[in-house]
Amino acid sequence: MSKTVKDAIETIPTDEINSISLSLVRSEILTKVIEYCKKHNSAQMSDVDLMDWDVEFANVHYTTLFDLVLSANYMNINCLLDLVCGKIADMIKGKTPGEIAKLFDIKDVSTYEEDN
Amino acid sequence: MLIADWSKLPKELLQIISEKLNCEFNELRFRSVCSSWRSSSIPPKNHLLNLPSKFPYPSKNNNNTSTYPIFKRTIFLINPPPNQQQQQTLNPWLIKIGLDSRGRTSLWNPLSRDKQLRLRFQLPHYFDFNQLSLFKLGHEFVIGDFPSVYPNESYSTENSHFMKKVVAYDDTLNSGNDRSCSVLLTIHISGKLAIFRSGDQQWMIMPEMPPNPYTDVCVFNGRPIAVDSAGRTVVVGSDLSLDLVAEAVFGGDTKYLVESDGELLLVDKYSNRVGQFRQFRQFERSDYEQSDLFSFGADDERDYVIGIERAVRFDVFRLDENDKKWVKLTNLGDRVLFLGKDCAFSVKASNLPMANGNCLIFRDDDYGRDLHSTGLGIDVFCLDKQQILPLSSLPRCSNLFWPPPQWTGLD
Repeated sequence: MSKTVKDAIETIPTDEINSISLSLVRSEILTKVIEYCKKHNSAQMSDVDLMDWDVEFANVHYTTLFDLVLSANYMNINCLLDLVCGKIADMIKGKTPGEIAKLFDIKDVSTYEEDN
Repeated sequence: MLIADWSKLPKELLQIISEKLNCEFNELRFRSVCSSWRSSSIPPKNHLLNLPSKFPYPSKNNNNTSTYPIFKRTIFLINPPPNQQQQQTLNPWLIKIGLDSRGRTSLWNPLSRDKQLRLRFQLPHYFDFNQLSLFKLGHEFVIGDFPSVYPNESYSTENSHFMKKVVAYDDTLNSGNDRSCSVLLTIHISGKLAIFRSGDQQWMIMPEMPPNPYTDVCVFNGRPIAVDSAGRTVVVGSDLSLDLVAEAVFGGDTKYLVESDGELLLVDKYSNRVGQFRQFRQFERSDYEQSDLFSFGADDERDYVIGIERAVRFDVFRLDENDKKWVKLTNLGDRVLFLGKDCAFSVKASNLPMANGNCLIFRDDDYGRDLHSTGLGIDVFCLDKQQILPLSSLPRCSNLFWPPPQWTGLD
């Protein structure tokens, strides 16, 4: 499911593989990513149940979301990236720019008059 | 440990997130958060930039040279600011906002083409949208001139017949060049579909006469969809071919399409004719003739007869894309469907001051309506009781539209 891992496996000669280094991914986040991949590969749940599971999976603190989105991007897992970006977009919808900045702890807040 | 600095998210991720915001209003706010977010998101697409500012009505002989401006109106649910006093729950406000033909920002009845009367203030001087939590519920495109003070004034009624719902979609990928291409889709008075692409001079009426006239159009997942009065639903391809999306259900008199929770729903309206009236016609008789909505007398008669219809009940269906069938829904769950003249949308009951969902809010056309009645003319159909009630009978919900809630300071 991870294109990065798939590419790594394909480029390194097979008898030399002991481990693949994913230096930018923290262990707690990697655990979550593995949990996601296992669930999506098992094909035991119906589509609807899997969607519900996804919603629960993405219902995490925003700092975890930040790590998840970067990890999904680094490991090139498109469906996970889609899920997490969708969750972030949902958190943004309906909020004022000030509220969004506060939610995500962004300090460099600027207002642009011309768009409005 | 990496400290989460959201302003430093890579550009491509910010792009994906901003694409999922699904509405230019949210995208504007996204871009206002900080400079790195602004520089990575694509400016929202504006269909009106790719189309002429004035349109003729769709007409077969194209002799009709009168043109009318096009307006985009957006429907928002405005949530009250966090309530410090906690004395009473504050109601949200559902509005439709857009320019009138004199370029003034105005509020409109969310379900019809009329202006909200009695708004004494000029927006935006008295109302700062930037500080409020807003949800965009939908948008519509309307072609025509709207003073619309009295709904039965002849030219605005004419516009109501002649100009059906208009939807816009993006066809840039198939346009063969890099220029942004927007396409408008509507229903001609004869019941056939009509298309206007960027760069056209006139509407093109699609020659295929369907077995039943088309009654509604919508854009679902970027694709233009049309439904006829029997429920047969098609998607309009880029080469203007029509592909079947779902077979007919027959049933009632008029069909509508609504997007709700990511799926496409069909609403089937059963109506009774309660009267009729004569209307002086503005356009060539041949334009009207193929529609079964109108009847004419002798050849030289300049007016036609319109039936006055009132809804008696509705059925709702969801789409089974694989089997190409509409499957009847007996329960909408938490959802409330809104059927407007030019726009249909869905809201969760929990976001509204409503105890339960599973209902449909609509407005019958104005013909035959008492001009001096002060209500908005909006009714509710409850699916469980299969019953129509006026909106005023749901106390908290009748304040959803008008007058503006107290917390807005506009009343």
